[in-house]
Amino acid sequence: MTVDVLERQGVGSAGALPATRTPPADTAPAVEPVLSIDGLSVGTGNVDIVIDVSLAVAPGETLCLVGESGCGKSLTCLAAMGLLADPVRLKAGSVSLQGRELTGLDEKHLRQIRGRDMAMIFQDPAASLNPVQRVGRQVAEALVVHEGLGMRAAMHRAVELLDRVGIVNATSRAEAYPHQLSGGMCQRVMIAMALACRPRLIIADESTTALDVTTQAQILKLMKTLQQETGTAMIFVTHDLSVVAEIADRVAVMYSGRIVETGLVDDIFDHPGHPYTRGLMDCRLHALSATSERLAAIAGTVPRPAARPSGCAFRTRCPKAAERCETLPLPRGFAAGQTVACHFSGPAQ
Amino acid sequence: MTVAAIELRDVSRHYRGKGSWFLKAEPVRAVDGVDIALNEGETLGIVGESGSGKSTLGRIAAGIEAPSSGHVSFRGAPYAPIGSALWRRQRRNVQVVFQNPSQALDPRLSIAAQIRQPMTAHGIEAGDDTVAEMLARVGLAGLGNRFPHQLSGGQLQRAVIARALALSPDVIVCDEAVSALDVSVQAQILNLLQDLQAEFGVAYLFISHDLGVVRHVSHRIAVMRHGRIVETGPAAVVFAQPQDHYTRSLIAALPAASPAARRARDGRQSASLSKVR
Repeated sequence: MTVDVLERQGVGSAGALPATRTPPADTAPAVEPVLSIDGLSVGTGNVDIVIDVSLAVAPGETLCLVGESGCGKSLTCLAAMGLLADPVRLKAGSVSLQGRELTGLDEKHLRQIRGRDMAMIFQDPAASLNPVQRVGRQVAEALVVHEGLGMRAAMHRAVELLDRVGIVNATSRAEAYPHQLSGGMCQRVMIAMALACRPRLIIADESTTALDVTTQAQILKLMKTLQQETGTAMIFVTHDLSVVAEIADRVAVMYSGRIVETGLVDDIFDHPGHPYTRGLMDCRLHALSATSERLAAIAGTVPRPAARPSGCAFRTRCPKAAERCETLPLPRGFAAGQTVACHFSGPAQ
Repeated sequence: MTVAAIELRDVSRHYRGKGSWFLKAEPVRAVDGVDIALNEGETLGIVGESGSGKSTLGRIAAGIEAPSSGHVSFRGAPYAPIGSALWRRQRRNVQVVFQNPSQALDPRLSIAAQIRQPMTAHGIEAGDDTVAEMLARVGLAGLGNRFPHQLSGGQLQRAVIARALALSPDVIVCDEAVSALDVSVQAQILNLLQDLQAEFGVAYLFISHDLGVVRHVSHRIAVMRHGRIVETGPAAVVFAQPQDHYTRSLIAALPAASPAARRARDGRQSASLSKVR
């Protein structure tokens, strides 16, 4: 029934989307990307926070954006959604959704696109949901606004969506206020809202970080299943590499505002090319593969954008740093489909 | 047998629940009949999901909160009533490190002043040398004059640890002490905690929802659910041969360590499913 529900709701264009995930073999997807970001720079005044970021995500593909806090992951997503707020602004670059340029669009047009063609799920559902409105109505709102449904029809579909995201007794839960639901339930509501208009792109910013591990496992599984059914492209921001292992097709690693490595998820885990990626891999802790050895920590912290070192921003924390790191390393091929911005990265064996 | 640093026997903590005008309020059993002992110099990990009562347990073990029933003893002696002079002396030996360092520090006091404060409160002479030594020990040498807003999250947590260490306690209760930190900084802090344990023999009651972190730092682990301890044992054993079905479900829910591990697991799951069919 699940597919039917979405099928009935939709505009009938499901055939155009591949039902299965098709991870592209190269960093530049062979299929026309759903979203492509090109040379994106974001900042305030004369400080650049995100610098020259280029990304593309294909239909049905999940791209994970990885890095420590303060690396610019969230700002990149907000810029893609056209949600930058003063004093942070777009300085350069383009963002196009299904070939349509979004930068320079006015708020009226952006509002038509957000929620309909692209949707975002944030970390804290409690802060994103309206506390004084019943959750069913909040899901229905998108359908009223974007698909011109009447409130009754929209509510009917909202209940179907809530059922689809695994909320039992959806009919009665639709009448609940957010505070009456658990964190995991609220996050399911957020997913239902994001899915309501069957967007081509979902951006999930640390969407499972605040959840307990059992809830997180359920939500990740749910998002994967729904993605396989609808062929939605997904950008998944996280700092947790085990979540990346669960959900990603491709990975982009960000450090201090730049993308320092991209590649297929297996390649990133099997042979990380950038010292930063390697550092992140090494200080991971997993309950099933624990060692009693001392952890390999990356010394220091991410520099603030205003105090970013010249050249390679990672050089102040990098075990390999040398004189040539004072010039900026350009991204270059490391292995098939894997790009690394480091002077020391030779091709993988 | 040696005396445990902290021992809880049949400890419960009930809060008054929310009732309504026709329904009697049921008490919330945050902690329900818990028996655990933290030995000198060891790390006991407490894992559980949110709402399992692990923080309440930590507060009771630290003596900040009195149990509704049961006995808590520090080195064989029961905690004195909260607020009494004896309690204050006992509390000196049990310090707490919470999750959010920026909330645990006073924004208007320099780091050095905040490390000195507990020593002054307990009537200990705290010269600049002592404070500088504490700072150096946690990797903050020369940053004593800084204020909290001038330090990063990892540095702030180091300052909190220095403050906890200032009284040379026997036990530190770490309640989600590394959960808010990035993985790289988390690794730095975990290494620091282990170094300090090797050097000073301090015991940790390490509370976290992160099974990987708990496994790494703990000698023994207790798994909590609904206020009760469902399983205890040496860290490696609990993860390798979980006895309780809740522990097993927690471990099964862990995200995979790598894409290859994920495929192996998904393969096993679909194989066992097809067997059922």
